[in-house]
Amino acid sequence: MQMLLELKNVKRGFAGPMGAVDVLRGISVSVEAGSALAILGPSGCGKSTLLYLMGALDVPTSGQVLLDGRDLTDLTDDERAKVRNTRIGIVFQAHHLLAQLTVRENVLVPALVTGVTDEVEERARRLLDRVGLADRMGHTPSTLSGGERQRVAVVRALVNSPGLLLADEPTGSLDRATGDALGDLLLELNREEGTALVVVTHSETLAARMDRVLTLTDGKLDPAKENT
Amino acid sequence: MKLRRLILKGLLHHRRTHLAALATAALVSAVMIGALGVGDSVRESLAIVADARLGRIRFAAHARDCLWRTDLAGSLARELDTTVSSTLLLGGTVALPNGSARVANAQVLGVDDAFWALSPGGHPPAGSWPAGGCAVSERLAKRLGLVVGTSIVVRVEVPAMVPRDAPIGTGSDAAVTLLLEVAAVLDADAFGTFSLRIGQVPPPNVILPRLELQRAARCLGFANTLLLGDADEARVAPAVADCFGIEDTGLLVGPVAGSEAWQLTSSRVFLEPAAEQAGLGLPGSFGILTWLVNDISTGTRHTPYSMVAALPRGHAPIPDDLADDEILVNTWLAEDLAVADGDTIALTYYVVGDGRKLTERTTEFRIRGVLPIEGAAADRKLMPDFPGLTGAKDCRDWDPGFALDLSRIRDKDEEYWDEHEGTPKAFIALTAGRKLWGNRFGSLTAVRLQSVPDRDALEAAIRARLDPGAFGLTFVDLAKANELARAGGMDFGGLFLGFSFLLLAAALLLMGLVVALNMVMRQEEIATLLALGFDGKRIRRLFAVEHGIVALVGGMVGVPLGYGLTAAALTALDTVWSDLAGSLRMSLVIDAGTATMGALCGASISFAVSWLVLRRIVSGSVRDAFTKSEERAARDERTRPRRGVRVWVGPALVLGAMALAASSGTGRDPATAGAFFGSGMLLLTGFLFILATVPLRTGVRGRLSARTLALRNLTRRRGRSMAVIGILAFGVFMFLGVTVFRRDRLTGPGDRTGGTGGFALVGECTVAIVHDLNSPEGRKFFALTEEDLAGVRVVRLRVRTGDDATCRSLTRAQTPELVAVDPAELEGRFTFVKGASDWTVLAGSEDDEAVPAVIDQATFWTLGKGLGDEFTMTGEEGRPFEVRIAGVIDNAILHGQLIISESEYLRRFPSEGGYRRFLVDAPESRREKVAALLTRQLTDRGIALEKSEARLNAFNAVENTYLGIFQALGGIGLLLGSAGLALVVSRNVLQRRAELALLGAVGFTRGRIVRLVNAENAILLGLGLLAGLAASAVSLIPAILTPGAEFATPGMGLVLFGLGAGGSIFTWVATRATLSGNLLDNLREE
Repeated sequence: MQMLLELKNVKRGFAGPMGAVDVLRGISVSVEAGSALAILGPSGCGKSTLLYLMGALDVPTSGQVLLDGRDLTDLTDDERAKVRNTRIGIVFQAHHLLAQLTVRENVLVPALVTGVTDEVEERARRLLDRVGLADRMGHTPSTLSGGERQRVAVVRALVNSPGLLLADEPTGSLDRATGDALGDLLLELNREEGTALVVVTHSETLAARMDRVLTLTDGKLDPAKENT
Repeated sequence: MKLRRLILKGLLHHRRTHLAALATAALVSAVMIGALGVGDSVRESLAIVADARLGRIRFAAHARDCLWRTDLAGSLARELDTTVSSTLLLGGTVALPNGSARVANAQVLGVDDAFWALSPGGHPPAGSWPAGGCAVSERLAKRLGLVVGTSIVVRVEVPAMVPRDAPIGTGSDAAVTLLLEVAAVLDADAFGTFSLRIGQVPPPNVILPRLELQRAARCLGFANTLLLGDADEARVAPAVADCFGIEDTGLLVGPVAGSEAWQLTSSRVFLEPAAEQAGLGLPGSFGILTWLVNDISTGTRHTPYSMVAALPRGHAPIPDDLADDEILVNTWLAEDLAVADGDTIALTYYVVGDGRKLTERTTEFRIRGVLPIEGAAADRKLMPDFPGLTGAKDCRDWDPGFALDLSRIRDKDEEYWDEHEGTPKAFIALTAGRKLWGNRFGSLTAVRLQSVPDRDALEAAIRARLDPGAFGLTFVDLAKANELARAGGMDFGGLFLGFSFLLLAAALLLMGLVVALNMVMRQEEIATLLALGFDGKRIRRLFAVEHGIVALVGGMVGVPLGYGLTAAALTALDTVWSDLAGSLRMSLVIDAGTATMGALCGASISFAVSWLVLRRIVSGSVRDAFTKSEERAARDERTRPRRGVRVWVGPALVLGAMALAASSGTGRDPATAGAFFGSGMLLLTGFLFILATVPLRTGVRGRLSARTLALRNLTRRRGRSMAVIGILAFGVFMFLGVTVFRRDRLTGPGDRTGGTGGFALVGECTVAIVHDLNSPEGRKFFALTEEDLAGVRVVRLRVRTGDDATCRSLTRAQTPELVAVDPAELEGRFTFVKGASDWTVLAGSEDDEAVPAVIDQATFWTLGKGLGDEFTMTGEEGRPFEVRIAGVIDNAILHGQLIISESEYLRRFPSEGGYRRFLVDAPESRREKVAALLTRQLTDRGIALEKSEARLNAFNAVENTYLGIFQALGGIGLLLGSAGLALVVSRNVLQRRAELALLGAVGFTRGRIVRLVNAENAILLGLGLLAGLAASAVSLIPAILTPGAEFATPGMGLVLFGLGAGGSIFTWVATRATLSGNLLDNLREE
């Protein structure tokens, strides 16, 4: 399969009162197009930090983050923003929906960067229909359930047809049944859209449904399981 | 670890926002201390001026036309054991010898050594004092560019022994000219600012030795002003009664040649009523009235210009039963007219009318007898000392001050004069004489006294019956009057506090916003404290202590800043706002009490605002600490008030505003201005209501765009958006809208109902003018032709000088200037705004003793009186009378004066002579020419003419300056308020960081996010400015429609530009600063 994302000896440290703290100590991992990867690890181990580096939301202290062969660390902030807009979709644990916008509008927010076209509108409608929210398009986030909000966040992440979908504890704030349903949806969309999926989670159940599972411990990734 | 440490740590950790709060608390306290400091400084400056004006003088008596012996000062000094100066104080004009510059309304003082002893310095000015030398005040020296050695020409009004209006004065010696050399320029310490009038603007003073001025004014040994140093008030009146002499009254006592009788006469020809009563109260006395009769005739025979005496019946030569229509003639007259007993003769004579007006009347008498010129019928003393007649060698030398046809005088008349002088040719009963010739100056020319032991006993008897006050000798406690004036004067502290309203509001708004920002930044801290078991009350108290310390320190920091503001305001009052304080030199006063009070008030208000804000936010934070944002949003949705009828409030207010504006006309009177200001306010409120209630769900059906996203963000927190728009809009409206109350050139000279009353010119004379410039005689007197003054009418005003009651005065006038006019002359002029509706109100009513007066609105405000309120004034004879405010006219050229009717005035001041103020009605095309002509022909009278609208605008400049200060301070407040926008933005952005980070996460660049936020802010700023401008435009309609009226200034444009630009910059910087750092970190939940 074609290589989509590759992290090479990535390190990320933060300044602390007692000196620098290295959260990631040399991560090397690759994600192929259309694959599904789960990263497991206890709270505070740096899973989200790793996801932020993969999602061009942050840059490493050292090492390389290659997306489609381009090193994201060499890009300017604006170039990284463009990459995020066109190649990456992100689902956060807190869905971060804009309370002032309707479901449809929230989904279209990423499209605002280049301008909302009929095609994007159509895709948004289709995706919302696909996730079962066709009848909720005019609703505001405050009227939705937790699961529905996360589904809106997933659609928003996919609206610009990214090659990489990152999900940060997507089921963390959902009950088990709803979380399972969301997991199903992510994998179905992974297959249907051909989008590589990287899920950071502490849910082994969800992780078990991915192609590959890696565990983050002491700032390093260990292969935990390879689901084939 | 104690709570104290937690508070200290909080203060240190959040020092940036605390410093901002401290700065705003300091500003609040500085504004308050600055304003109060201005009040203290103005009060102290006025005290300094008053001290310099009066020096060591405690009591003063001054009368323009009453003269008292200079020796009286010595007697009073001994009696009261204090310094007493007898000073001659006259009005005059001062000019350079080449006539290139002239100052009217100067005080010319003839002083003695005691005057200098009473000066603030207590000694005469240094340097020699050559003959013909004088000292001038610094103010006068500055105005005319005088230095020691410069020559000046001083035209001085001399005291009138005979009332100027009395037609028996010559009228030609009203003023004398002195050529003087400046020997000293006097500063305040040397009485350079001496004045008896309350007011901060000292008159220009020329001071010379008393003897020289007395000699020039022909009143050697007499003066019209007595100045006393400190003395026991209770002893003053008795001392005056003891020392007062008959010579101090202008009365004369002398024996009647060839008889045992004595006679009391007056240098003013007619005996004042007080003197008449005193004389007639003595045993064996009777009154005499002798008058110059123009013609005595029968048939074709005429005898010109004869004295006719009126005596009581029973006093020779009047028999007991002489009827009022009977007359006794002497043999000379009987022979001249060829008449005998029983014949009828006609007496033609002048009667005294208003002013100097003489009307000729004729009355017929039946001859009761013919008397030989001997005994009582040969009494030359029956004729009083008529100025211009007494002492004349020939009849043809007579110059009595009124028109005589000297060509009618025959040789036989000259012979009679040579042989008998003014011996009356005829005699009538006193009752008849009083009916014919009694007038406002008196009705007796002498009181004849019999059974008089000697002169001293007679004088003592008369003096015992005289009230010194009736002859102007009433001492006023100047120190007390000064205190009253200062106590009731303009409170500049309160005034500046009011003017700083917008500035204070802006500072407090900033304070609230800073505290709100601080609290928003500390949401996590609040949640943590809650999680740790702190309750909401304890958390609020914790933050309150923090902000209390900040407010207190800020209050203290505000003290030096406040006095900096005071100094700046005083400088402005000395320069750009000098219309308000005149020439008052300001002294900065730093008062510990004011500083402490200002600091504590500033700190308290700041803390109160902090408390209100933090209480609300902390309470909200406690409630929301563990609530998810979507739940909060859902709750907000549920609790959002239904629009209901509120939707209709906005349109209703807008319609109301339009209706009010449409019904208000286009005048520029205060009522219309108020109506338009009100309609502007209604419009703005209506607009804000509409904005607050109109559905703005842009994009729900349409396509989502960055613009609709910005709009949606604004409507999401509509309350906060409305607050920003509302504050900006009301700030702009208050700043601009009040311009409608500016008083510019509202009316031209032709507008009779405007502030000029339709008059073209306003003039004032130093030397009173008695001649009527509307009459051919008056014009002829001043060498003016009918052609010169064609179409010109002069309304003459009598002026009783008083305290400065114009809006320029910082003290409250105790006895304002009294001005008298013939009400008919003002009919249809000016606009009445309170009380009466026209000038007929001045006529008063018979059963009301109070004199009705009209004042203009600005004076009404300055005096702090209400309609119907009264002033107690003192009449000429020392008798008090009340003047009641019966009507108020809109601001006018008749500013700073109580206007009463001339007839009422003359009842109280019968001897007051002439007119000193003039309102000139002249065709606009000839205005300049008429002004030049009158100025040239009346130069000797010290006339100063100015265009009526210039006079009006000079008064209006004061009100305009007040508005200007309000706008200047308001403008600063607005600019400060625009800085507050930055805080609103910071708070908004802080609260929306996660939301904005999401935009970053989905691909929005930082610049794009900043632009989006700025677009939102620009909409708020623009809407606020536009709403304020639109409302202001409505309120300014009257000004916009008035050609030439000033309704916009470059300063206002600058403030608005500053507001727009400053607001944009502040919000841009705030957005950038708040979004600095890694925005995307806000998405992390770990």
